[in-house]
Amino acid sequence: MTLREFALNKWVLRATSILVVLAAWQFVGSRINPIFLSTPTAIAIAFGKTIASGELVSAVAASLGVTAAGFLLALVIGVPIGLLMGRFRVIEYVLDPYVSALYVVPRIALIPLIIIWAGLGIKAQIVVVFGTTVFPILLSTFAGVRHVDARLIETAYSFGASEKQLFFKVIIPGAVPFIMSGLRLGIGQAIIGMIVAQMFLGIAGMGFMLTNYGNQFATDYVFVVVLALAALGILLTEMVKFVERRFNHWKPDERTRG
Amino acid sequence: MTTQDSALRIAGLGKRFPVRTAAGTMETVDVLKGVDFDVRRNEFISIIGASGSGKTTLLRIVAGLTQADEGGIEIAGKRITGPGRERSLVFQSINLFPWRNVMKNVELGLEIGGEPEPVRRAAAEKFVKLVGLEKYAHAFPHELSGGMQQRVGIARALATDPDILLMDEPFGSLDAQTAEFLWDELLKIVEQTRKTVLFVTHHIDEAIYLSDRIVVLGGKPATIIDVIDVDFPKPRYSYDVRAEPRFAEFRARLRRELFRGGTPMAAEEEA
Ligand SMILES: Nc1ncnc2c1ncn2[C@@H]1O[C@H](COP(=O)(O)OP(=O)(O)OP(=O)(O)O)[C@@H](O)[C@H]1O
Ligand SMILES: [Mg+2]
Repeated sequence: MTLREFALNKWVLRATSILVVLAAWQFVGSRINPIFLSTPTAIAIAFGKTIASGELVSAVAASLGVTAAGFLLALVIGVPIGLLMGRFRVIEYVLDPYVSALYVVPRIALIPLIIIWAGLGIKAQIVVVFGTTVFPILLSTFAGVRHVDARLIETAYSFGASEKQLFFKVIIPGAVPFIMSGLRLGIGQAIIGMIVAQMFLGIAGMGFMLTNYGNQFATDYVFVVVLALAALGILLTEMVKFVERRFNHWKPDERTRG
Repeated sequence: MTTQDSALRIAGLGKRFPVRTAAGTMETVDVLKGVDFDVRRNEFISIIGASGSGKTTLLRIVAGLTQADEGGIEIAGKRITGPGRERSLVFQSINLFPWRNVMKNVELGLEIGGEPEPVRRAAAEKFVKLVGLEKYAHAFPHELSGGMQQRVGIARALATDPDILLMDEPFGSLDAQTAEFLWDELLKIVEQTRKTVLFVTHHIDEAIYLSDRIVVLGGKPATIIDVIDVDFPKPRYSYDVRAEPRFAEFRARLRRELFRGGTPMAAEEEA
């Protein structure tokens, strides 16, 4: 490897970039009020303390539970409804007024109603996560069904396929790439929903930690949660991408990307 | 002809399509009119005609994918209204399932027909081998050339063992050598499995080589402008049919009919 190749290696570039930013942060942060920026070293110490006390781990566990429950609920409800709306015009016309209306309302605006209906506990948090997650999943599934190659439907029909066979042998597998991107969008939305829900409704979890330390102006602890959230987001998105690759193994490689 | 030796009757078929005019309005155009012929059991019939003359439309009606506006299709004396197990269509656009490998694509019809796994697998293996793709049995369609994909489409249609094989330019995107190899393979399969074939092509030599009769479509709307009996002895793959002097006569006759008006494009015949 020449020096030039080394300097242009993507990992070298990434590491350098991170080191430079961390150094600048440390430099600026230690010269101003710690409430504004804190410093990487202070954040590392805060991280150590939240780990040692078990606070961070239990918050992450609580958040993961809510995210997973809301996401799975959105999956098992959003995908079938999206499939049915995509395949059957009657179902589309019956349901699309509600889907469109709910989709444009910011889900946060519904939190007072959710509190009235589901209280202030875990159940309400799961409902909020479900609410933010179900739409990208449902709408992507719907779009996926509409994009299934009509010629493949006709091919199966020419072999005498029943409606049920068309559904399971053509529509669903044909819509899988779209469903998978819906899940990828959905997982990001689920994390947003989880944080919002726990900030408003939580007495535990990462969202609660955020409001709690924010109120105390403990900037270093707030950053610990933010970074943990980023890690969680990356982890969950990579998991969905892994599943996505498993399902899309038949597709041509994305070799054309620069 | 009695209904016993008639595999398929195409009775006074007419088909219209709405088309968009330059002015943006819709107008109904007759594509097929009064198309009428019988296909005998075990007969190989080619339908030849200029591009846009309605060959695919005719085959789709026989396959039960499109309804005729006039007349209809009869099989064993009964009017058909949709697809059936006794017919298989090889699509001009091939239509392989991209998420299924070659084997699974070939199994499609049998799977829909409810055949058990071992039966499907055995049939798929047999027909994948027949079209010379055993090395690619587990490849996905995007990993195959156009010609290989077309062979998968043929294997898929054969796998359900239909009486009537409907083929829409199945060798259209193959190189000449592969196509000619498959002509012989097709003739052997048809002979062994006693199939009736309705074969759409615009390739004159292919039509003469394969067919017992050639139905020529022409005009606007398209009707049958000629029916040629190709009475070379069989099996044709055992000698060089194309060296026969009458092969050249058939070819000249078809060229005359297809190039009438100076262009092979049906759409321009109106002018
Ligand atoms: N669904 C449709 N809607 C409107 N017009 C159609 C439709 N299908 C076919 N046509 C028209 O009918 C005519 C015949 O089309 P068809 O596909 O049957 O031709 P073809 O003989 O198979 O041509 P080619 O050799 O190019 O495949 C064309 O003018 C086409 O535009
Ligand atoms: Mg055609």
